[in-house]
Amino acid sequence: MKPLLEVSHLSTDFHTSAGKVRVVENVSFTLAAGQTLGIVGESGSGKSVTSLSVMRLLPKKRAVVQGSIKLHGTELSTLKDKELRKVRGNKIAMIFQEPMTALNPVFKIGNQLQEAIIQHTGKRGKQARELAIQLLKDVGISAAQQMMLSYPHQLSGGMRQRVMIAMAMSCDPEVLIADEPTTALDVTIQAQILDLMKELQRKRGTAIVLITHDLGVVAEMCDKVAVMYAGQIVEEADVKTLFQSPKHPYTKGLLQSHPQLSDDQQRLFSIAGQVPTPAHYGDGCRFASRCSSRMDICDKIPPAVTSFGDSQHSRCHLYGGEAHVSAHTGS
Amino acid sequence: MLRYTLRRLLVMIPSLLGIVVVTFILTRVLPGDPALMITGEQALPEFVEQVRKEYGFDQPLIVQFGSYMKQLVQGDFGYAWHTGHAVLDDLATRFPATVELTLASMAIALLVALPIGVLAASRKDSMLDHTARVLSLIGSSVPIFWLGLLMISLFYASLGWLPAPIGRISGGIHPPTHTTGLYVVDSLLSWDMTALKNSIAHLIMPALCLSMGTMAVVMRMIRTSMLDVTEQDYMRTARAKGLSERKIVFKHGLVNAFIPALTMIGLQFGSLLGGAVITETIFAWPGVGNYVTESILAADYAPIQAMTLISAVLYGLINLAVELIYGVLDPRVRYE
Repeated sequence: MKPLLEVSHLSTDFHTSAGKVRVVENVSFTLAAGQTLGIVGESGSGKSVTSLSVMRLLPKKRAVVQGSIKLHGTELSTLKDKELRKVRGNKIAMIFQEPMTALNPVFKIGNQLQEAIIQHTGKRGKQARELAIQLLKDVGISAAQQMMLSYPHQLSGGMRQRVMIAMAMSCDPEVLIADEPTTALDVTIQAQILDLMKELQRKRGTAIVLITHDLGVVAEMCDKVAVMYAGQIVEEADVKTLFQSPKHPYTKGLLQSHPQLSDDQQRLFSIAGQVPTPAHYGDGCRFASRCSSRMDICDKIPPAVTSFGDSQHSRCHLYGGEAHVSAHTGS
Repeated sequence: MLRYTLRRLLVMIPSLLGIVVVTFILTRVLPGDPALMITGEQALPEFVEQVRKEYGFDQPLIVQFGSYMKQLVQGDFGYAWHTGHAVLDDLATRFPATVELTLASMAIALLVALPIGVLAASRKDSMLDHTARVLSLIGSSVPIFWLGLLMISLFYASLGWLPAPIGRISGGIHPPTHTTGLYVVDSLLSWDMTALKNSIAHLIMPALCLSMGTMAVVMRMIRTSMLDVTEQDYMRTARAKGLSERKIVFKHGLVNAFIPALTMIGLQFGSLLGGAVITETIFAWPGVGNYVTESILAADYAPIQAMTLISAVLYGLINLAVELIYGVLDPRVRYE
């Protein structure tokens, strides 16, 4: 299948008071139309920065993004701001983690919803209004007319996230990047929002990049999964393979720390330690200090990517060894 | 909102009463014998005594206060003997001058401060930002009397671009037909181009001079709150929608950044309406600031009391207006 979105060798550096820090390193993934890619990882693993880098939404002064981002083969990373604006919100849309703060408190929902429509579709006035009302109905808001005149603070978190989704879907985007869309919501609302996203995807064929730390959400929603750790993708696989035969010790740890009803275990498994900050990544594998399968080589040499068939790739020394490392360090 | 407004107006009454009492006492404590000021130093003692009786200055303070209050509740602000008119008549000619000057200086201040404050924030630490900050420092620290004189010597004396800084309109030109009392507005209404040009030329310097302080403060506030707003999630949402940078900054940013600056603008507005004494003096502007200064120098009680009370009322009303505007700008604020 020809990829719709193709991200290759994406690296993001932040300028900090301590100098340049690489927050995301050499991230590559592809996404076909209608597919859902999950990006999973702990807080601080670089998931959100990856998504913001793809949209080029990081402040230019603070962040430098390298690498290639192609949509339908068109390179986005070299586009001028004006050209990029035609893509944002139109071909690639985004929803965020915090529906409580992602809407502007001083403008009505209708106003904010129509902005993107007016910007990208050329529809104005009554047409734009009707489309906005239709979008609100599509995301399951029955009192759409009334909703148009409401302000964000009058809505619940779930309602706001529905509005955000309506806003993101307003120009029928090819790719929807959802950055932890359900994290801030109640569990029952979470399920509703995920169902809504699935339904919209089925109807419109939107490809979704779903960023989450919740493996349950991944299992339910995704076709492919990329596991991120300390700014790198450490394992990539289709969803079944990942859950059935995870290769990277970090992925294994993540899966074990997910509670299961059938479990007799008393205590939930957790990976000891925390994600290191970019200044403490060290020379070898970034997961080495927390890894239960750690070897001597892990502290010294960064592991290369090993492939298991076409769809599974893992960045770990367990499957490569010395020869493998030297063969792959150039790539 | 109507109930809230009414309640706020009612709450103003006790504080206004307090102001009336304090002003009354303060004017009486001031040195200077009003009877002597009226008659002149050389007057015969019998005549001074007669004037004192006539104006009631010989009565005990409490009696004087009683008759002052009686006048006040009837809407009579008394008589300004140093001009020979009723205070209300004096104010009717002088207040529009102050209003015109205030509005003009406020307009200049906001027109400059808002865009520059926003741009300075969106290009933080750029040359423009540094320049704006230095300008705002200068604006808030430069003495008005010095700036005023400098402007006069440059634009009137040296370059001759502007007319002599005396009053609101040149002597040879008829003021426009009276409608609002604001010369610029009136001359526009009556389409009197000569008066319009001339009154604008007279207004520019004092308005610029007076705008400096407000401009500096508002610019700083807008810059700071804009920096704050830039970090907000909804700004990122706006960007993700593909809106233009101008729309993001001036629509999504400025409205939110303007809310905290509003209080400051309201206070500034209120204090300007009370009369800008220094500016009005330098430019011989016939406004209330000048009027009050003259009244104080002449120990003329009635106009001092009247202006203090009116200033207080205006201040209260403007603050109330600011609060109501808050409710309009920020839908989260609702008054019950």
